[in-house]
Amino acid sequence: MSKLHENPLDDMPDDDQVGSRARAIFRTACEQTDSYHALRLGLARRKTVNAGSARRALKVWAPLAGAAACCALVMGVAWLRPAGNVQTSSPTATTATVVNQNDADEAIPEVGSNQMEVVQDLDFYRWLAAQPAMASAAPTGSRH
Amino acid sequence: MHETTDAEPIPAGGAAMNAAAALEAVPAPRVAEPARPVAATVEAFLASVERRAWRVAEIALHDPDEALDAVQDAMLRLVRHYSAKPAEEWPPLFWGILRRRITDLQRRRTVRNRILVWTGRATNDEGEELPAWEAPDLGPDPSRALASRQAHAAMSAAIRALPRRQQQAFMLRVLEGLDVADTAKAMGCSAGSVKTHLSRAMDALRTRLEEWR
Repeated sequence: MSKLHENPLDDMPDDDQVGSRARAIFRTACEQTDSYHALRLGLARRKTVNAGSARRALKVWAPLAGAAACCALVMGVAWLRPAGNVQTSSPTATTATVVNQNDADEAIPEVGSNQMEVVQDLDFYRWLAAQPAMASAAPTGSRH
Repeated sequence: MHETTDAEPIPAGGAAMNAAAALEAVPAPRVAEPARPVAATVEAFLASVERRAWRVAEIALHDPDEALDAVQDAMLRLVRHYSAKPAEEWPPLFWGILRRRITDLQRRRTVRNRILVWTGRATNDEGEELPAWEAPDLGPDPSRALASRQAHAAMSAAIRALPRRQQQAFMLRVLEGLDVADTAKAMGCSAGSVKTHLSRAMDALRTRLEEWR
């Protein structure tokens, strides 16, 4: 299915000996190209075609490889993210619980209000609660 | 108006006589060249065109190795940038790339010669001006004694004596056999310009042939 070119010499004068002779000489010279240069030309052509093939393959595979790498990255992030939340949230929750329990025992009140009197009262009651022996011994002594 | 840029001196009479004899030794073909089929793959196209391209570059550059580099560069650019184009477009694209590469090398050579002259390196110790650098002239030797090779050398010298655009028009249109439209595309000019350049080139070569006779 090879399409043929138009006659390239359609508007050249038929009787032009210069052109005809030059073409004949040129054709002969091309046919008689020495083997060294013919070999080098063939090598250059093969090198060129191979370089073109490699470039075409790179053009095809580079976007596919890039897309695959992006997909892998997204999937990896999506897979790791829930696990990371669990790991980060549970110690935080545990710590918060412990802190709340400690706060219940050792909460620091604000200074400069009536709460200080309450705190002093609480200290007094704590101290009083810590004196069972004295509390129980005083009535006994008075009876005797 | 003839272009005078890039014209090189015509060889002296003795060489011209040899060239005339060599040219006359090759008979002119009487049958028109058969049309070339369109290559199926870019590699087949390059294989079909590589020798002619190298010969054209060699004629223009007068250096086989530089010609080989130019052809390889043109091949690489065609494969990289235009291999996806329809096969019918490859010939003008390839020849256009090669033409630009050859022109670049010729200009680089001209600049190199000017720099050598300007820096004074083009003179010897006695102040005499050295000839500008040119590619080595391999010349006819026993291994190149065949008439066809001498004819080719003579024809190359005659073509090199033409201005650059006339050289390109003659080589693409007559030697390579591109049609006017493809030649215009490869040369980056109009079809009318191609015809003008070609007509002047043919006139100049006809004159040269008369001188040789």
